[in-house]
Amino acid sequence: MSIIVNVDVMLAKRKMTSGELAEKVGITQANLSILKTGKAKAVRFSTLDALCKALDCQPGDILEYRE
Amino acid sequence: METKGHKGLLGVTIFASFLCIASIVWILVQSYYVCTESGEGCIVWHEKIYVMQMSIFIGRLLFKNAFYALIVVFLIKQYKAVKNGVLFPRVNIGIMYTIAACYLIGNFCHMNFETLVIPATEGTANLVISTDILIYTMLLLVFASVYKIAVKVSEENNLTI
Repeated sequence: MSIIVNVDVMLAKRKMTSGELAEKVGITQANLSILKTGKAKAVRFSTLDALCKALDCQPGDILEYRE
Repeated sequence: METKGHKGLLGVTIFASFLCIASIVWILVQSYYVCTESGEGCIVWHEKIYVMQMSIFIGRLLFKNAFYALIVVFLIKQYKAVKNGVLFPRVNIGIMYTIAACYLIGNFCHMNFETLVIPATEGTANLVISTDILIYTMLLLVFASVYKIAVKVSEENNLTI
């Protein structure tokens, strides 16, 4: 898929662990791992909203389109 | 609500499994009887159509029993999957297609069983197939295809974060 999820990059920038983010967003670590590895088929707006809130960033910082 | 649904599914699974197992036993007993006994309702082997008779006899025995056994397997796997939170288990797709194939062959053999294996007139082999069997097989194939789509949608839904 050409959509890249840059949660790892944002986690590093914010110096936050996956566990902390999962807890703040309200998803399991397994689901966060699916998101990070690009295996997710879709992202709910509510999840994206929570991710942006937890990482204090814009959706564009998390999602990227690469050809 | 969920527990009620589970109980309903368990009830259907047990009842249908019981019927299927009873049918398997009945076919086995009947096949044994028509093979070993002689007289009315028993096999009259004819040299001219022996291969066809044997094929129909074995086909009915194998595919009808496989049909019932696969239904039991399907129901048990479905119940276990639902209990574990999976609505459409992938393993059931293959089972559904196999059920459709077994239904077609098994019922074709079953339909021709009495006329071919126990012929009233000597050595006449007229194979017949009813449109009902073909329609039900098509219906089973449609259900299997819909089930396959449902599995895909369900899996994609599980990967929606």
